[in-house]
Amino acid sequence: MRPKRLAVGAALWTVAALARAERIADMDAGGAGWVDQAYRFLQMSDPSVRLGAGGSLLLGVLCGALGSFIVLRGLSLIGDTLGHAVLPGVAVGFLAVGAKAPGPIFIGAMAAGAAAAGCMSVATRYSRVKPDAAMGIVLSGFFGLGIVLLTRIQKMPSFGNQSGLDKFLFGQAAAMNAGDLVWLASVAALSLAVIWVFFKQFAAVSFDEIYAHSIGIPIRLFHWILMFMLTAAVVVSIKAAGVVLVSAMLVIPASTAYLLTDRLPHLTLMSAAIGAFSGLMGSFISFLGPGLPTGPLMVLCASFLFALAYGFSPRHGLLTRMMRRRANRKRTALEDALRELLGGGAVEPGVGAALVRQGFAQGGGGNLRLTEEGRARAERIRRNRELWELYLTREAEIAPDHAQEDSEEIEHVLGAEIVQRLEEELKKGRAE
Amino acid sequence: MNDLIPPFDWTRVFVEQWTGAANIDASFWVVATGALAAISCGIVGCFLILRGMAMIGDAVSHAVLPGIAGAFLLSESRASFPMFLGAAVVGVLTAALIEAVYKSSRIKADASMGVVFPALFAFGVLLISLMADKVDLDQECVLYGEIAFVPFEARAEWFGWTAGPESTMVLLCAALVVIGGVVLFYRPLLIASFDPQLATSMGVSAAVVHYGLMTVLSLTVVCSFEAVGAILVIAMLIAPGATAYLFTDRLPTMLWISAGHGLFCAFAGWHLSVWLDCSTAGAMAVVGAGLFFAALVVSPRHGLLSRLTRRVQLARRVAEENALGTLYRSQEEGGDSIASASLAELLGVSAGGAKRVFRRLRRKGWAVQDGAGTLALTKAGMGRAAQLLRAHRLWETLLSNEVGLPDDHLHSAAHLLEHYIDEETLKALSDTLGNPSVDPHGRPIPKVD
Amino acid sequence: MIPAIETHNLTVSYSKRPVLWNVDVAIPPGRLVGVIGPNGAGKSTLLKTTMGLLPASSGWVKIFGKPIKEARRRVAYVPQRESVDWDFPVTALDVVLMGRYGRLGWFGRLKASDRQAAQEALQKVGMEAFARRQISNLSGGQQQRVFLARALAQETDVYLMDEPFVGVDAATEKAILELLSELRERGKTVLVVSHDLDSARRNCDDLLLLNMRVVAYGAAKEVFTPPLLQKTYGGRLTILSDAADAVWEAER
Repeated sequence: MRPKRLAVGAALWTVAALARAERIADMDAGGAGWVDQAYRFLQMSDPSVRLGAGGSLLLGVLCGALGSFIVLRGLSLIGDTLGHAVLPGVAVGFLAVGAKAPGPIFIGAMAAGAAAAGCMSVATRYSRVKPDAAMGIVLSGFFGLGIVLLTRIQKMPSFGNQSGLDKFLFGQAAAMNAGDLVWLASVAALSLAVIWVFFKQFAAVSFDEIYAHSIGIPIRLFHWILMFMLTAAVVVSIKAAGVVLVSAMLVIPASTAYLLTDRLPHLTLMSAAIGAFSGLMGSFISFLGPGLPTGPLMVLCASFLFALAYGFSPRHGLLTRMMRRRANRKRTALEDALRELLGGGAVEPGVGAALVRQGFAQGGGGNLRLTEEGRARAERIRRNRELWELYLTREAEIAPDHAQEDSEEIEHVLGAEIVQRLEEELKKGRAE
Repeated sequence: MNDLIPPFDWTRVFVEQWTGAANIDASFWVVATGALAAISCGIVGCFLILRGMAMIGDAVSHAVLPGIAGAFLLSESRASFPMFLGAAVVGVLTAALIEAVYKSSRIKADASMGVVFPALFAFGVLLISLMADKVDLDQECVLYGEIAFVPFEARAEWFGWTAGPESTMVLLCAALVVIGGVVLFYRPLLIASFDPQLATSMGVSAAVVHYGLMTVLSLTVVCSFEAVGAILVIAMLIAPGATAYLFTDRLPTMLWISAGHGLFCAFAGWHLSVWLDCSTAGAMAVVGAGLFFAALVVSPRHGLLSRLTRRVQLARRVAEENALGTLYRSQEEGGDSIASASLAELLGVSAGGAKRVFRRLRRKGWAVQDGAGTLALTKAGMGRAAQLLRAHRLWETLLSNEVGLPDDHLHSAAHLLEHYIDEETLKALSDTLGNPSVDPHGRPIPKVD
Repeated sequence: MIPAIETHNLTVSYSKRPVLWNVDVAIPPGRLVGVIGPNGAGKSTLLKTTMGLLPASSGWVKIFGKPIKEARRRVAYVPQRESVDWDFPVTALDVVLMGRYGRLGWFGRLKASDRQAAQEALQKVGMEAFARRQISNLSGGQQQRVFLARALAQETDVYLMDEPFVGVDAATEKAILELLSELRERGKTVLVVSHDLDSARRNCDDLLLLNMRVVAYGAAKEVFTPPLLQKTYGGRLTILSDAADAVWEAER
C-alpha cells in the first residue's frame, strides 16, 4: 500500500504547488490575496460566488450524468466537435440582441450545434470521407467561423471592445449571472428528469441497440434525445467551462467512474458526483486569482481524479491489477511448492522457509515435511488443479481472465454442477 | 448589427493590398506564412486521413500546448529550439499516452483520446494564464494565432542574408522537412498507410512509421502554432486532405490537390479577413471547410451533383426501357398499336411524364408516332426492346426454375432486374438455363444476335 | 391455422444491394426450425427483417397474422454474441432484466415480478450462480446463456436465435439444445440459425435451407438431402449475387 500513499502525497503536493504558483502571479498582479479570496468563496455570502459555485456544481452534475451515456455509446469525440462548433451560434445570438442575454445565445448555439451535426452526417453519408475526418472539418470550420465572428464583433463600432465574449472560450464561473444560472438549472433539471424517467431505455439502447430495437424501443428517437441533451448541456455549460474544454467535462468524469464501478446506475451517479466535485473545485481555484480561466481548472481536477482511478481503482486500476497479479504469482509459487512436497520432491530453500513460516511445513533444509494443515491444503490444491486441467482440455472455452483466477475457487468460477460432473469424470478416469 | 458585414470594396480588399511596398510586403508574408502552414499540415494530414487518424491530429494539436508553454517559460522566447523539442516530445507522448490508456484499461479508444488531450491542453492553458504577465503569449494566440503580426516580426538573418520573418522561415523549414520526408519515404509511408500487415511483412515497421508520423505531426503543429494557434491548425490538417480525397484515388494527386487547397485557403482567407476586419487564421479555416463542402457538392466522381445526375439518368433510362417494353409487348400480342394517351396508363405515370418519355424515345430513333396519334416502335427500337424482354423473361425463368418463386411473384422481380443486366451476365444466365426459348408463362424469349 | 411466421415475396437489400430474394415461407407454430446456409446467404438478415430491424424492399412479414409492430410482445430475438460490448457495466441479471423492458412500456418501472421472472430465466439456463457478475467476467458460453435467458424473460411465443452455438463450450451447447427442446414441448416456435448441419438435422423438426433465396423448407428428414444441400451450398447461383452487385453499382 506504500506506493498508493506516495502517489497521493505527490498529487497533493502538485496541487499545493499549483496553488502557490498562482499565488505568486496573483501577488505580483497586486489583486486581493488568495487567502482572502478563498475565505470569500467559502463564506458564500457574495452573490457572484454563490452563482459561480452553484453553476459549476450544476454543470458538473449535468455533464457527468449525461457523460456516462456519451462515453458508453462511443460519442466522446462527437461531444468535442459539438463543443467547439457552438461558438458561431454564441456570436450570432449575441449579435441578434446586442447583449449577452442567455436566451438568444442558447438558441443561437443550439442552432449551430444542430447545423454542425447536420454537416457531419451529410459529409459522412454522401461522401467517402470517414466520420473522424468529417468531425475534424466541422469542428475546425465552425470554430473558425466563430472566431471570425468574435473578432469581427470586437471591432464593430456599435459594440466597442467590451463584449466580453472571450470569456466563452475558456470559461469564467465568476462571470455567470442569475440568467445564466436559470438556463443552466432548467436544462439540468430537464435532462436529469429525462435520464431518470427513461433510464432503462437509455441503458438498453447503449448496451445493445439491435436488441433494444427488437423489443420495440425507438432507438433513433433516443439517440436524438441524447444528442439534443448533449448539445443543450454543452451550450449552457460554456459560460463557466468554456467552448474549448466543455466536452472534457462530459468525458473525463464518466471515464473515471467507468474505471470504478461495474453497475450502470452507479456509473451515472458516480460520474455526476465526480463532475460536481471537479466543477466546484475548478470554480473555487479560479476564484482565487484574477484571470484564471475556470474551464481548464475543472478539467484538471477531473483529470487528476481520472489519473487516481486509472492507477488505483480497486478492480480496474493499473497498479492494483499489477499488485493482484503479483500476489497471484506468489500464491502460485507457494501452491507449486506444496504440491512438490506432497509428491515427495524438494523445494528451493527460500520457498521452504516461507512454507514453514506459514505453518504448512516443518523441519528445514533437505528434510522438509508437510504439517497436517499443509498436507490438507496441498491435497485440495492437487484436486483442483486436476479438475481445472480436465476442464480446460475437455471444454476448452473459458474467459481469458479466469485462467489466472484462484484455483481454490473452482466451484465459484465454474459452478457446482460442472465441478461435480468433472469430479465424476476424474474418478472414472482413475478407475480405468 | 448592420455593420457586421462591411460593404465589399474590390479596391480596398484586393488592389490596395498588393500596391505599395509596405502593403505588398505585409500581404506577401501573411499569405506565404498561411500557405506554408497549410501545405505542410495538409501533406501530413493526407496520411492521417488515409490512416483513419484524423482525430489524433486534433488531439496532438491540442496537447502540444503545455510543451510550447513550458518551453516558453524556460527560454522566454518564441521560435526557439527548446520550444520545438518540448512540443515535439509532448506531441509524441500524447499519441503514446492515448494508446497506453486504452490498451491498459477498459477505457475505449475514443474516450481515451477525450481524456488525455483535454487534460494536457487544460494544463497548457493554465500555465499560460499563470505566466501571463511574464511572457508575451496569451490565450488568444493559443486559439487563433497571430498571423497578421508576422510581417512585423524581426527578419531572420541567414548567413548574413536577410530572409523573411522568423515564423515564416521556421515554417519554410518545416515544409521542406515534410516534403523531403514524403519524397524520401514515399514507399514505406504508402504501404504502411494502405496495408500495415503487408508493410510489416516487407520489413517496414508499422510502429516506426506511426511514431515517425507523430513526430512530424507534432513538429508541424508547433511550427504552425505562431501562425494559426492550436485549434485552427486542425482545419489545415484535415480540410486539404479530405477535400483532395473527394477528387482522386491516387496518393500523389491527393498530395498535389491538398497543397493547392492550402495555397488557396491562405490567399482567400487573407482577403476575407481584410474585407471583414477579423481574425485571419479564422478566415482561412472557414475557407478551408467551405472548400470541402463545395467539393462535396461538385466533385465529379463522388460529389452530390454528379450522384444526383446519375440517379436522374438512371431513372430516365428505366422509364424509357419500361416504355419500350410496353410498346413491344403490345405489338407482340398483335393488338392495336397504342394510342399516345393510353401509354401513360400502361406505364402508371402521368400523361406529361409519358409524353416526355416518348419524346426521348423518338429522338433516339426507337419509336414513331403517326398522324392518328398511335405509337409504334422502329426497327432499332424493336431490337432494343427485344434485348430487354429477353433479359426480363430469362430472369423470370431463372426465378421460377431455380429460386422456385410462384408465378405471381415473377414479374415484379424481373421487372426491377431487367434494367441492370449487362450482356455478359445475360449470356451466363441464358447458358445456366440451357438457352430456353419460352418463359414460365409460355411467352417466347426473343433471340438477339 | 395461422402460421407463427409468414413471409410473402420478401426482398431485403443492404443499401440497394439485394441479399434476400422473394422469400415465401410459412412456419407453423410449435416447430423448432433450423435455418442453414452458407456465409452471406442472408440467414441473419431474414431474422432481422422478421424482427423489423431491417426494412424490406418488397413483400411483408407477419407474426401470427399481424405485422411485427403489433406483435413485438410475441417474439424474442437473440442477437449474435459479438454484437455488444461485453465491458458494459451491467451484471448478468441486469442483462436478463432488459428482457422485461419491452412489456414495461414507456414509463414503467421494474417490479418484483419482473425480478422473479429474470431469476427464473437465469435458472433455466443454469446461470443463477452468476447473476451478480459483471458480464465480461463470464466465459463465451456463459455470455450466450445470458442472452438466451434474456429472451426467455420476455416470455414470448416465438424465439429467433442468431447463431447461438458459435464459440460456446460443449456444456453450453448441450444446455442450449435442452432448452430448445423444452421450448418446443411448451408449444413455442423457435428459429435457430446454425452452422452445424449435423446437429441441425438431428435436433430440429424443420429445416429452412437458405442461399439468398429459399432453397427448401420442410421436415428435416425430407429436405436434408444431397441434391438440396448441393443446391444450397453449391455456388450455382452466382448470377444472383452478380445481379445484386449490378443493381448496387448503378444505384450508387
